[in-house]
Amino acid sequence: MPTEKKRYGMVIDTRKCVGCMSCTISCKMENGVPFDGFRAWVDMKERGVFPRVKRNFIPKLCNHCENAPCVTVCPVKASYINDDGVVLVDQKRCIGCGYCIVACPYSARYLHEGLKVADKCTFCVHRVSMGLEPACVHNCMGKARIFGDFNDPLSEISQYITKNGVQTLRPDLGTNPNVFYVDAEINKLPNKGGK
Amino acid sequence: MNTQDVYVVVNASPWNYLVPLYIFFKGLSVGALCISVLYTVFRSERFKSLAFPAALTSLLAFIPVPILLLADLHQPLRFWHLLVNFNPTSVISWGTWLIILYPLCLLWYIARLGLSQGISIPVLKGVQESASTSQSTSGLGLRGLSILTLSLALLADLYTAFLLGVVKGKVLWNSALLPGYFLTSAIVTGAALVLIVYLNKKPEEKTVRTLVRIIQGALALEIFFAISQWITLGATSLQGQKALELLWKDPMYLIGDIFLGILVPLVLLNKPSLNKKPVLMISALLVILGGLLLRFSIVGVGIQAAALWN
Repeated sequence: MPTEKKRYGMVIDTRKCVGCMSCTISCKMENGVPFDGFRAWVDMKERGVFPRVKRNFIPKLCNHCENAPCVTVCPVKASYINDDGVVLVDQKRCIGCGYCIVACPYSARYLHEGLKVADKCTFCVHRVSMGLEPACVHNCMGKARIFGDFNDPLSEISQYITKNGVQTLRPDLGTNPNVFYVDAEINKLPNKGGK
Repeated sequence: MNTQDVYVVVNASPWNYLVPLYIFFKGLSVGALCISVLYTVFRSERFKSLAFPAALTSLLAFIPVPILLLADLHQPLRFWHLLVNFNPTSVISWGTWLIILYPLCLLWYIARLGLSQGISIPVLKGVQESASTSQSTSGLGLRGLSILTLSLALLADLYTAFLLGVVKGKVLWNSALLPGYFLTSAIVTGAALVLIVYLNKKPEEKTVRTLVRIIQGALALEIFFAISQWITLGATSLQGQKALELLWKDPMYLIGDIFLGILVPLVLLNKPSLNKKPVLMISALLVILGGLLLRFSIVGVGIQAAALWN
């Protein structure tokens, strides 16, 4: 039986991602994300040596960490975790010091050029509160993104996570992300020119 | 296995030149104060004539600090949020109060020091009168006040190193060496600034020599911190090696800080004498430039190196 308290999270099955960027675009449209910031995006990497090469698509977003560094470092408590485990920014309280943006090891925050405050993925709380899925999940044509409540063992996300091996980004940092990846070749090498 | 980026998004860091400048000026102020307290705390008579100018230099060097801090906020009018929303897990929250208390205490210290040396400061007349009264009532003498001001100064300088040091996943910053490195750099740049100020007054040969010895010692200590950082970064992890590569490729670090800011002044300051006043001045300016470039390098490369692992 689901507990009263929710713990929202996301599983991203990279086997199903084709790198179409519809998540990036739909997020920007849904949330009015400015041109030079990203709440959701897809990293693309080519791995291997010819003829055994493979292109990986790794969709990324705020990891909504249980031990969120952005919340820890915020000097005015503008970053917080709500009752459903979603990391949010109180935009009226934020002073725009940028410390949370620098402190996020996933580069998931940016400074909103119009509002002059930190901005990030909210798991589309405004949609979720109406019973809808986040925009990136709704618009994913490969159904690579699964959103739901980890505290509900009958939810699609809980069942998906029991059937598939998952991993998180940078588990060494102890942030306990609520975004999990299936079959992602991550945590292996640095981005640029690593061998 | 080869890895080639095709498309990688890294949200831009909002920190620009204002952050390293802020750290630099705060260091200058703290360093200059460290020279002043050599007389008031450690009772070195050689620094008696230097104590007051050094303290005043410290205060003047601090003036840009709050301006830079406010300018760095993208919502500067919400600065007061820092005062009413204290987050004990945030280093900035602690730093805010240190940055407020330190200059207040410094003002008090300058007023008391001026009183003890018979120097009247028209701008600080009211503070001097209060300081005179409070000394008789609180019993806090100049030495006690000096220790208090020095403690706040050291904490105000060290907090920036911890501000960077506690950020997860920034291998260049996550080092126990950083507080010592920053503090040493603060002392050496502050001492260099005091040297410039002192050379333009009526300098005494012995005092100048001792001041130069302090600068030389601190520069040597900086070399120790730099080499320790290279060894630990290079030997511990691939992340560390990549960060070290970036650091060495940064001209502000190797050419700016290490060569121009440390090695050249060390050579020039050999056998210091008042006859070599221009050489002393150039050396001090180079030391200050090196300290500035070190801050730019550590902040910039720290962010850049971490972006490789996103």
